[in-house]
Amino acid sequence: MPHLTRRAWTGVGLVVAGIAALGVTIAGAQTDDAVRGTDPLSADETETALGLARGSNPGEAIGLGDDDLVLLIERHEENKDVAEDGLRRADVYVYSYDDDVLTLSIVDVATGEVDQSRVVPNTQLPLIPEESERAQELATDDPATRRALATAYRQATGRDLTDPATEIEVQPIVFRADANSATRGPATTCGRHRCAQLFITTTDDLLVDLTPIIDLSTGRVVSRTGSFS
Amino acid sequence: MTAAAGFSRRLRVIGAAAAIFLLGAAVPVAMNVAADAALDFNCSPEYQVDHTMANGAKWQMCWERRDAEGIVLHDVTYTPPGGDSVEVLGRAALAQIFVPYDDNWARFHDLSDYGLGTIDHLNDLTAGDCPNGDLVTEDTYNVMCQTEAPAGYSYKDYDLQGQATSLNLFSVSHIGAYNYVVAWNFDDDGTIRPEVGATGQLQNDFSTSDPTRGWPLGGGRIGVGHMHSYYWRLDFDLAGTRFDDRVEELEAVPQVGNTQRRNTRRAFTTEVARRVAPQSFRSWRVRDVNELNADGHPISFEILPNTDHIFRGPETFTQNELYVTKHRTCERFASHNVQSCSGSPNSVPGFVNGEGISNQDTVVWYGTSFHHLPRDEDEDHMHPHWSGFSIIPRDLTATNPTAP
Repeated sequence: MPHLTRRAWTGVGLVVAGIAALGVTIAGAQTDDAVRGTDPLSADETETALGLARGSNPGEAIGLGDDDLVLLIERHEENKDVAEDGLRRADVYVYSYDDDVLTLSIVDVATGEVDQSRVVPNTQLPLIPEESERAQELATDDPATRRALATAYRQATGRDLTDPATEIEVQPIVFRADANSATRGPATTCGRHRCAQLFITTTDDLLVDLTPIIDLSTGRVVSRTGSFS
Repeated sequence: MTAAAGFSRRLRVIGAAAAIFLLGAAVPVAMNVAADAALDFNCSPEYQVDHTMANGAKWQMCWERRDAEGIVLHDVTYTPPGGDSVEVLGRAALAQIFVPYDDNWARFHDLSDYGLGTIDHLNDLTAGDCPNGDLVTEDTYNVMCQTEAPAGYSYKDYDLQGQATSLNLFSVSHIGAYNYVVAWNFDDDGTIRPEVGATGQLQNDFSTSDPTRGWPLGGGRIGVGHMHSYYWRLDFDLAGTRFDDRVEELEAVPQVGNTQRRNTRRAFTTEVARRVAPQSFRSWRVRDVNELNADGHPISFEILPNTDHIFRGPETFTQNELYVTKHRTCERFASHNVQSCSGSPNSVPGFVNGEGISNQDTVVWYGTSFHHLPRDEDEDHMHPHWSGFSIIPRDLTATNPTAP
């Protein structure tokens, strides 16, 4: 299936932006000298892992393609037998939108070596902000979804939706078809593809009865209502 | 490193010498740590909780923010007043929040799929969130509130009485319209009470919803009923040693025409899934095989279920409340497990696959459910509805450690 819309947004620039929003901004206050044991990765350790993910060390790099997105960099929880050795490694999760494969690479942040790399099946990690934004763009770009939103907004508020930017709030969350056996139609690919479901409220906290599902892998709205009940 | 070296736990006691009483080959050693020793935390000071309670008891642990679980606790250690430190839990965390709606509108796996600890979802708490407490920060982000608060009687016996306190640690994660208050209460008598409070706003209250699936709210809307099923992953490492914990089921079985109760104990030797049984007062305890209290009784912590609501859905992980599994690092979530190890199962029933747990590092999973039938008072905004359970010391000390 052609994935013509993806390359526009899954470039290296967005990969870097994705990392910046992964929690690095609230982690790593300490210097690496103080990092130990069960501490989360420091900013320096995360930067090292990111550098490897981006291929700055060609000899050891994971190697990211243009359609790859780093979803998560987090301290690798070691088996207890080796946890006392002071090993500090990072789990680097990379999603390839080229073939819808999630890969985990375990990186030794001290040596800069990628110790292991393996495909992680049947797993959908939480959306990162760039994916959330992309899902909203795709929904906004779909005329039928816009019409459905206008109808649902009027139903919830009795008013016309005139300025979505100020009148609604959207929370995208990852969607897996196998989370609900009632899922049907094009949305059944979600899980094998990476999908987002949008939860919409008015800015004065009324729920809007519309939860569209977006297939980020194909760039299409696969369910305008998101309801299968 | 050798396998033997793996027996020494990371949160060690240094300083005073251990008091070891060898009473013969068949008799285990007594508590092996001393009261005035300093703990060697396996984390830097920023990630330590080192709290002395009003009665002199101590709770010490490390914490870590992780994307899915939110706050994970490591090396949770209790010291009774004037007593010896004992590690209780090597790792403790919420391991799933499952929210299926009565009309099957959605079946959310909030923890694994949305992440309690991501910057999108974990709240940056304010002083107003933490009255009379201290904000716990990671960099400049206030991830937790830590408070010691009165907890009523410690005991009351005619004119004798004592007042208890509890150390409360909580974080808040907003998932959709809900805000989850993920709390750990550490009482000054050694009791641990994990809880989650669900507050915020209703997620599903549409005028188009089936009225038989919920409760009428204002404006002709239907607040659709739903479950909040919470699962915790508890890696007990009693007394800091991980291969000598044994899980037992305690029960009081009716006998003699239901006029008497036979109190039974059943030790599990292989991985197991068990249901709550309030009619026979079923509970479970994790006991150390080697460590005894001064009465010569094995030290243990008992899991007391909360069984107000029981949920059995089509999902296999909802078929039981308690699971005991051999420890595997990559078995992290009760459902939608991140399958980061080759062949790791998708949910906790798959973790129970016949492995022996005698002399193995074991993990206990406990789940509890709450059916939320909305009411008008849920708007606006919703009171927290709390779900949780208790982990109480059983024979950790020979007498009540909080009484003089």
